Amino acid sequence: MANPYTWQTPITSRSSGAERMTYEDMNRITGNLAWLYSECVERGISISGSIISQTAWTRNDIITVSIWTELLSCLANVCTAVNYTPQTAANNQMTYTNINIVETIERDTYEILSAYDRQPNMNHYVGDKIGTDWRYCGDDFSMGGRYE
Amino acid sequence: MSMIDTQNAKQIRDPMDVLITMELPDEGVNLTYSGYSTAKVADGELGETAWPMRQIADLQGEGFPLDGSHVLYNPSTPASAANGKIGVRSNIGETVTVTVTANRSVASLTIFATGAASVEYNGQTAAIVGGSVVIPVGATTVTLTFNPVSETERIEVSDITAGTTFRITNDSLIKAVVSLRSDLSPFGQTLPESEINIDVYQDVDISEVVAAIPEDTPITYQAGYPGDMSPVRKFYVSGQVTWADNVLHIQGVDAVHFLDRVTVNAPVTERTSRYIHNLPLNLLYRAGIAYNAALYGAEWTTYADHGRWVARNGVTARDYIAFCQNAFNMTDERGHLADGSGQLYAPLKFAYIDAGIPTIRTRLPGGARKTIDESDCASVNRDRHVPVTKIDYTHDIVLTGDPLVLSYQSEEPPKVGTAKMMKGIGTSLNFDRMAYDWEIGLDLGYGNTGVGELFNKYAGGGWPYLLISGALAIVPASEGGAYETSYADLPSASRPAYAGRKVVIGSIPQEHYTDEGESGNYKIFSAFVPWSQPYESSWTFGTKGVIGTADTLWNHLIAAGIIDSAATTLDLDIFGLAIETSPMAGSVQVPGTGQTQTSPELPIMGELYADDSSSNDDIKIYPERALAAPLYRSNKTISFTWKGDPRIQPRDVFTFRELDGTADQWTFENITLTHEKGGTLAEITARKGVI
Repeated sequence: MANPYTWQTPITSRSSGAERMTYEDMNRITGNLAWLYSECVERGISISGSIISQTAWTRNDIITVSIWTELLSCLANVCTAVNYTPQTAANNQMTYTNINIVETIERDTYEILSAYDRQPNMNHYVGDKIGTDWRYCGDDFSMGGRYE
Repeated sequence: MSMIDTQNAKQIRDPMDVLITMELPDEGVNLTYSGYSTAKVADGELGETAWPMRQIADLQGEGFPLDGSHVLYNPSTPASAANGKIGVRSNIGETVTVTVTANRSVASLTIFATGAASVEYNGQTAAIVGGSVVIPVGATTVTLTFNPVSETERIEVSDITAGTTFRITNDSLIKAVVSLRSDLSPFGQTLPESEINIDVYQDVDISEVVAAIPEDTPITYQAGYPGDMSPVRKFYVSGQVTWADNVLHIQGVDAVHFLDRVTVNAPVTERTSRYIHNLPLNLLYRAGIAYNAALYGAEWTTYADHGRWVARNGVTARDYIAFCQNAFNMTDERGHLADGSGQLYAPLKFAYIDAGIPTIRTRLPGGARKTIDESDCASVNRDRHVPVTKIDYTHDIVLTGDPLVLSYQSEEPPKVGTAKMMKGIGTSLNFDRMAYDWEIGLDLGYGNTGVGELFNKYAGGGWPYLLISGALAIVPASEGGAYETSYADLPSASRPAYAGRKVVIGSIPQEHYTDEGESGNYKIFSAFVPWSQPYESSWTFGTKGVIGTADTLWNHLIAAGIIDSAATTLDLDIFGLAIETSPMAGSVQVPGTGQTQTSPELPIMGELYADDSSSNDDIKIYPERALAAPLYRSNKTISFTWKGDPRIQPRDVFTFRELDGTADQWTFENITLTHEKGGTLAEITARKGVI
């Protein structure tokens, strides 16, 4: 079954507190998180928890502590599933830096999953640059990579 | 540079925020709130007006800023002053209802809500402008239905209180005029009320509600820009609040208003070792006025050493304080108190400034707080006020047997004094270092020619002259212009070459002298003593031609006389000032003091000496020095308009830089700020010098 969610390019370049959080942002953030979760499931990657419960946001919505806590939990589950430990953890603060972190983690996780698709075409030990770090798919990385 | 200075420097300024409140809560009423089940979020906390609305992560409109100011919504967080409150918040674009129930009938409710265009109640609809509205109720319960402003915003009801509270912002403000006043005039000085007049849009007929607003209901006012608002000024409703044609009109005055209600109800005697401002401060206390004493006593290192003075029974606190701040306003050496060694120090200064921020000053203001360029001003008018004033020694208050008190009063006609000049007998008046810019009119009549000839050369005589200290200008007849010179150029009996020349004082505009055109006759009908050119030296004219004997006041000389004249008399008429002396007249017993007085006109009777040591170099600072203090104040005033808010108080000092680059210090006297249509205009009057 194809992933029912659509990946949108994360925004990670917010530079000041004057930038605003809109319902479109929440749609992208939660939609991408749902995409990541579904992708793991689709690929047979073991992932705990469940998909985020709300992915459709309007101007009438208010971000609650409970939905944000759920969002952070889902994000952590996805990271665990792809064996990724973010350099900086996201929190409950509604600041531009924290939202940048959330979307950066989503982007990095997305790139890890994308690497799985590229590796079957390689003949040797391969790796990918994820963010500023090189991630290697070696013997210990059992999923997605091919070593001949 | 502060926000206000940055804005003032701009050619086109951003609209200034104006925040005005008037609160008349209905005390003793308990309100409960219900019926808001259709709200998006609510805690029903609508009665705690001091608690802020919690800024939550709300996606309405264009979302919220990611600056950390907004928090995730947690319904479990209790409302408090620290946490803020939720109030009642609707779904976007939808109405929301609140039912208010009171423990007794309430005449009116004040509602604060954002995102609401109007509120429906009892079949009526009231527009919510500027985030608040007052509605008449006349019942114990009412259901309010709020209608949204737009489809994308949420109604947020923050407060519903019993009574009438207006929080006026630019949204509903039509016009606000704030007049901050002082009176720096030398004579007849008063303590004026500062005033605020407000017109606000209000489409609900609340005429009955506002009719119940009593006088003295507090009003607060501040203006400025976000992060740089002015201090809050407090006013009090002074007239009937009215509503007509959807306009609410409020007027208020500052706390000076309260001083009319307090009088000196028994002769108050201040004896030794007292600060002069004890009694005025006591009167402020009795009027319930809390003043800013930040400047109190800053340089007040000594006090009245001895003497006895009596506050007159029946004088209002307002008149008393006005008198004190005019009389006890001495600078330079005259205002200094002896230190026991013959040296003088410590300016004697008392000033009460209200303007919504009651303040006492016991020292001169510091340096200029602002520089205002004439090029930034409009409607610049300069004035040199010459009141018809008489200083009269005839009203004596007697404690020791000496004449003590000067009084002053208006008097008509303008020519208030005449000194008879006779050949060989000089007349002179001394005004040493006087700041006041007196206008001296000379009306030199003589012999058979009669009064009216000014500086007229007459047959067989020399030239009459007028001299003020060392300042003298001699106008060559051939040139017709004026130039200043020193007293060395005085005409004298030994200088016949001066015959045929005008003798004028200072720099005299041409319209103030004329050329008679015949036989070298010239007429001068007014002259000026530039206040900025005080002359300490006292000049005594030669024996010949000096007429009369000097009547000295502070060693500044005005002399008039005839040189080599064969005439018998001339009259010197003095416009704007006359000084007369008279013997001490009858007396009135002052209860409790054993002293006597006449002329019950001044708020303070008695005498006061200053000295902070036991030496004998006491200086009598009251009444003579105190009452003569205004003579040292400039009578030059200026008025102009200025686009913006100079953010100043009356009695603040500023530098006024004229178009030619000349810069002098002036003291703000009155500032009227008008906020209208998003713009701000300041109309300013000021008096020259530091007062």
